[in-house]
Amino acid sequence: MNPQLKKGLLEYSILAALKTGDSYGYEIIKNLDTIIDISESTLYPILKRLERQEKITSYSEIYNNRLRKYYHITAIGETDLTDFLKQWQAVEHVYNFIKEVTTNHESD
Amino acid sequence: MNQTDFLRALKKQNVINYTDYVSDYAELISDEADDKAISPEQVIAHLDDPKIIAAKIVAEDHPAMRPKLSKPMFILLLTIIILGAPLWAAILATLLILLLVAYILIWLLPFIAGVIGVSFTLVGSLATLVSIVAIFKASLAFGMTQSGFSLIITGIGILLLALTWHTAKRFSLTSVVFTKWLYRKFKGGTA
Repeated sequence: MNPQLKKGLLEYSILAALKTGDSYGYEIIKNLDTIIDISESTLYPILKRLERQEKITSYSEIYNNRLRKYYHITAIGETDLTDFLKQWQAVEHVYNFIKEVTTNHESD
Repeated sequence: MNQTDFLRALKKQNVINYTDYVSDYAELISDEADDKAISPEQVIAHLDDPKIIAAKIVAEDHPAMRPKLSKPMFILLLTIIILGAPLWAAILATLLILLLVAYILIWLLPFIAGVIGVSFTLVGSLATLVSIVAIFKASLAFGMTQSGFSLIITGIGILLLALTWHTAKRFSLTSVVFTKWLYRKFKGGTA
């Protein structure tokens, strides 16, 4: 996938993963593994950025005698997801245009 | 590369708020090792090199890099620190003592509950045993009354021990989170 396109989708994918329930870093990677290619190196900076933008919050809980950090989507994050879905129709419109033009050009 | 070396290498990358990332990666390595039943070294083997991770952190999060001091600036800073030591060292020592007192006060509750819990449990258990003797030596009514009170005291002791365990777990977490917050604030202030 084009890196720029993937960059935009990663954030929304992470927010969507958190919408199903609070989660921690490794679990987020596992849940998104079949959806989008996400590496450990990319996940945490994105989580930090989302936290700074107040789209998610984090808290720690004890698990197996160690601390584990969980992430929780905020109202701002949920609004962002809804806005993304609303924008998708516009994206699909452009996609259909490109597909039509490409198909017509190939058949010429 | 083992976990210690990996995290140390990650720390060396000159990124501000690296402590957050180091603890994130420590947690990730533990979670993945537990989930896949493999060693932390095997997890680290498929992670990116710490330099690549740092580059991706900079690319995605755009944190400020720690500024590197020139030698004259470093010497000047060191001179100011040494000359100002009588003032800032006294203030710092006072703040550290106050912080230590705060931690002691926080832990006083579970400590007291634990001591009372142990005492009550021991005394109550002993008194329950003695009450059996009292039934034969004194009277049934006396022995049963003592047994009843002993069991109440033992029960209170066990409840206090359970409370101690629960509060100690919570306070441990609170202490760690508070300490990390203080450290982040300190690092953020000096960055």
